[in-house]
Amino acid sequence: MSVNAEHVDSLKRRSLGSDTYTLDTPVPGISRRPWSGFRNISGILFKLKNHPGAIVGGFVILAYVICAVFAPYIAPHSPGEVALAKRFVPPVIGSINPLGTDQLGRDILSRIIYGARVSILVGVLTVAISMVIGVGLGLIAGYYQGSFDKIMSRFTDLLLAFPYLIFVIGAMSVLGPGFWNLILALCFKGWVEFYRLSRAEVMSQKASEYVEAARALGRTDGAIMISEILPNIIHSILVLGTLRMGNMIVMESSLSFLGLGVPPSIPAWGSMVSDGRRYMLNAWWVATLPGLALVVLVLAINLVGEGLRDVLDPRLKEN
Amino acid sequence: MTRTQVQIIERILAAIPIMLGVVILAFLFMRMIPGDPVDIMMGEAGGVTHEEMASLRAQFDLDKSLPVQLVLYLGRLFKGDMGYSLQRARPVKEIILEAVPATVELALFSLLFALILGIPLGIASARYQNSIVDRIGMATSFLGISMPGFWLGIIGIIVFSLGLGWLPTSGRITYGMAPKSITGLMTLDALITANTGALKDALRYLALPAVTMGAGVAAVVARVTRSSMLEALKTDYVLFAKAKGVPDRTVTIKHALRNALIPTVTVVGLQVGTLLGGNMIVETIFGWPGLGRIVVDAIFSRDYPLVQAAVMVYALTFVVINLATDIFYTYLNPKMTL
Amino acid sequence: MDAVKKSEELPVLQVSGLKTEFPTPRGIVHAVRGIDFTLEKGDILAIVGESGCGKSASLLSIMRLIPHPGRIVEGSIKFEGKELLRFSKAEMRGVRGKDMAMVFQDPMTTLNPAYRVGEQISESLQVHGLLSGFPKRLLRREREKERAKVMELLRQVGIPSPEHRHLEYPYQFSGGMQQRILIAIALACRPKIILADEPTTALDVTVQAQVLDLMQEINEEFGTSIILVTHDLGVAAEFCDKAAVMYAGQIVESGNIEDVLSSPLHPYTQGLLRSIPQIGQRNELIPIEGDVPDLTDLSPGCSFAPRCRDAYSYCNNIEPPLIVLDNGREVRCHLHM
Repeated sequence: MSVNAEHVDSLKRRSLGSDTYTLDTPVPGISRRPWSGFRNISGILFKLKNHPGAIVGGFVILAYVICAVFAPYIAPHSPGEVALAKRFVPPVIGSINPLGTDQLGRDILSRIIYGARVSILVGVLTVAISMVIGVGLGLIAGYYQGSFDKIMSRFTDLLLAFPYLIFVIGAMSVLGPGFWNLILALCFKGWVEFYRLSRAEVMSQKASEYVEAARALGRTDGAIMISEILPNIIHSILVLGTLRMGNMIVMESSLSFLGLGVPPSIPAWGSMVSDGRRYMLNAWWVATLPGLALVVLVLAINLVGEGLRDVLDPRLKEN
Repeated sequence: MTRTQVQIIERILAAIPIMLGVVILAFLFMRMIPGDPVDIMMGEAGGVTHEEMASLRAQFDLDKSLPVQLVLYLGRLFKGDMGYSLQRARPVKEIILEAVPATVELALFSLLFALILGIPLGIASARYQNSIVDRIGMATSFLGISMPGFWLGIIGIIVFSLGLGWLPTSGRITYGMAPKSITGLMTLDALITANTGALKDALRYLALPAVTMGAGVAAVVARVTRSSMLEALKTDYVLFAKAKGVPDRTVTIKHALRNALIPTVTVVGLQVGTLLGGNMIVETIFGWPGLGRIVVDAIFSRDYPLVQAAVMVYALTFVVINLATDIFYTYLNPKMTL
Repeated sequence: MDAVKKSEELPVLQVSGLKTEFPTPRGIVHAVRGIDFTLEKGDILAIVGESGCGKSASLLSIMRLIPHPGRIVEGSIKFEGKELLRFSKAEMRGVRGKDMAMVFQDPMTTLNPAYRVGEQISESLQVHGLLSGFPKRLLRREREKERAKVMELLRQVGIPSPEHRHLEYPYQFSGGMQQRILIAIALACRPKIILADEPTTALDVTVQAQVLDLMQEINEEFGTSIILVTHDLGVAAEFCDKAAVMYAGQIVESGNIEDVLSSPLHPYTQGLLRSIPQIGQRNELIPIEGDVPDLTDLSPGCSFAPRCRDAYSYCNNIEPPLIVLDNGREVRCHLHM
C-alpha cells in the first residue's frame, strides 16, 4: 500500500511543463480534459532547455530526417549511379564526391543520404508498431489481470529468453531478407518491453482515486483506459520508445551488415559498411563513413531519449 | 535446508518450463519456413531424385503430423541428437561442440574486459562525482552505448591491424602456434602446457574481438555501477562505517561497492544477451571460428537444422546465465527474496 | 602521574565557536553557527531542538564527518585537550570509533545489510588494532578471540543467545535489537564519548526506554560521556545531566537539565515546554507559531525573533550575545541582559 501511495504521489507531482496538468485537479475526467497536458509540447521543450545534449541531438535528428525525406533533392548523385572509371575516389571536401566513392564508383555521400531512409523508417515504424501492440496488450492485461495476463506473462517470459539480436537473426533466416520482413522480425519481440512497462504502470494507476472516480461516474472500461490511464502513463512509454529507437536502428544496420536486412538494391548503412569491409586496406572511407553516419544518428537519438527521461520520467533508470 | 537453498531450487524449477518453451519455439522455427524445407535445402544441389527427396523428408519427419514431429524431436534431443547437417554432412551436435570453445573463450574475455573496465570506471566516477574522470568516463560510456559493434570492430581493424600493424585482422591463432588442445580454450591450453609463445599469440588474436564485443557491455556496466555507487555512498551505513574509523578505501570497496554490485550483477546477466547477439557479428568480422560465424554461414547455405540448433543453444545459454545471475544475487544480497 | 592528573582535569570534549556550512545551489546553508559547550567525563548532555536546527550537523562536525561539499569553517573541537581540527585524516580515523563513537537514528539503514552483525561488530575492533585483521584473523586462535569478544559485547547490550545471533544479518533483528547492536559497535573500543543522534526516535516507546536504560548503564559502568541529540524533552529530562537547546544552528540556552526544564530562560525553550503535554497538569498545549528559519538567509538579529512572543523591535536587528549566568547557565537572549 505504502509503495503504491508513494508511487501515486510521485505521479501526482509529475507535471508536463505546465502547472495546469496535475492529478490534484478534482474529479478528473470532468473538469480536466484528459489529454490537454499532453498537448503542451512547448512545455516539454521548455524543460529540455537545461539539457544542451538533447537540444543538439534534436537538431541532428531533424537534419537526418530532412535528408531522408528530401534525399532526391539533396543528394548530389543517384545512389545507384555506377561509374567504374572513378572507383575508390578518396574523400575530398568540396569535390564532386565529397565523401569519396565505393568499389563501383558510386558516390558515398549520396548513398549515406539515401541510407538514412531505411534506418529512420525502420526505427520509427518498429517503435510505433511495437508501442501500439505492447501498450494495447499491456493496458488490457494490467487493467483486467486474470488469465489473459497470466498467459501473456508466460509468453513474454519465453520471448525474453531469446537474446534480441539472435531472435531477429533467426527470424530473418526463416523469412528471408526484405524491408517488411525486417519490420516484422524486429516487432515480433519489440513489443514485449512496452507491454511490460505499460502493464506495470496500469497496475499501479488502477487503484488511484481518479480511476475510482471515473468508474464511479459510470465510464466504460475502454474509456477509462484510453482517456484516463493512458495520458498518465504515456510519458514513461514515450521515453522508452525514444531510447529503443536507437537500438532498433542499430539492429537494423547490424542485420543489413550480415546481409539479412533489406535487399542489397536498397542503400543501407549496414550493408555499405559490409561492402566496404573488403577494401579496408586501400579505401578506409568506404566502410567507416556510413558507420559514422549511423553512430551520429544513434547518439543523437539517445541524447534526446536521456533528456526526455530526465524531464518526463526520472524514475526510469538504467537497464 | 536453508531458505536460500529453497529459493534457489524454486528458481531452477521455474526455469525448466522456459527452457522447454525455448526448445519448442526453436522446433516451430524450422516448420515456419515458407515452402518445403527439403526443397529449399536441396534446391541448389540439383540432381536429386524424388526418392531421395522423400527419404530426406522422412528423415526430418516431415511426412508426419506436427505433434508427432515435436515428440520425435524432443525424444531425439533428450538423447543428445540435435539433427544432421546436410551441407556439412555431419551431425549438428559435433559441429556445435567443436565451435563452442572458441565462442566461450571470446565471450569470457569480452566479459572480463567489460568488468575490468566498467566496474572501476563506475566506482571512480561515483567516488569523484563531477570530476574530470567522471565526465570523460560517462561521455565515453554514452558513446559506447550508442556504438554498433560492427563499426567499432572495423575501426579497430583499420587502426590497430592495418594502420599500426599491432594486431592480427582475423583468426584465432597463428597457424602452427596452437597449443595442444585440452580444454579447447587456446589461452587456457597454453597456460596448462606452459606455452608462453602460444599464450601471447592467442591474446593478440583475442584483443580486438574481445574489446569490440565487450565495449557496449563495459559502458552499461560503468553507468549502472556509477549510479548504484552514488546511491550507496550516500547511505547511513557508509557514514556509520566512517564513524567507526574504517579507512575511506575500505569504506568504498567493502561497504559501498558490496551493496552497489547487486544491481550491477543483474545488469551483467541481462547484458550477456547483448554479448551473445553481438557474438555473431564480431565473429563474422574477425573470422573467429566460433558458433556465431557458423550460424551466419549456415543461414546463407540454408542449413536449417544447424541454424535451429544454434539458436536454441544461444537461448538456453542465456536462460542458464540469467539463472546463475539470480543465484549469485541471493549470495550478494542476504535479504533478497527471489 | 602529573600527566594523568592533568588529563583527568581536562574536560573530555570542549567545543568552541564551531561553524559549519553547506554550499547549495540556493546559497550557503549555515547549519552550525558558532556553538560552544563543554562535556565533562561521565556527563550526559542533551542537545535539544526541532528538526533542522543543526543538531545532527553539530555531531557530524565533532566527528569531522561532514559530507562533501559541507565544511567546518571555524572553531575548535578539543578532545581531552587535543585539537581535533588540526588532526590529520589518519589521526582522525584513529579517534573515530575508538575515542568517540556514534549511534545513529535509524538502525535499519545504519547497519550494512550485506554483512553479518558479528562481522560488523568486530570490524571496529580490527580497524583500531584491538583484534587482528586479515590475514592473521584467519588463524584459529584469533578467530576464537574475535568470537569471544563479539559475544561479550552482544551480551553486554542484552542480545539473547548471542552465540547464534552474531551470525545473522541485520534484517533478521527487530528495530530495538538492531539499535542494541549499533550500541555494541559503538561500545566495542570502550570510547570516551558516545555521540547518539536521536537513537530512540525510530523505535517503539517501550523499546525506547530499554535502549536509554542500556545507555545509562554504560555511562555508569564505564564512565562514558554521552551526547544525546533529541527532539524529545521527555527523553532529555529522564536521562541527561545537562541540556543545550539549539535553534537555527546556535545553542540558545544551556545548563543543568533540571534548571533548564524547571525555569527555562529562553522564549524558545519556554515555547518547547509549552508545546509538550505534562503528566498531572492540564495546561493547554500551545505550539510555537511559525517555522524554523531558512538557514541560507538569516536575519542579522536574533533568529528566533520572528516567532518570539516577547520580542522587542531591536531583536530583529541586533544579535543577542551569549549571557553567562550563575550556576553554569547560559542563554542567548536580549530579555536577560
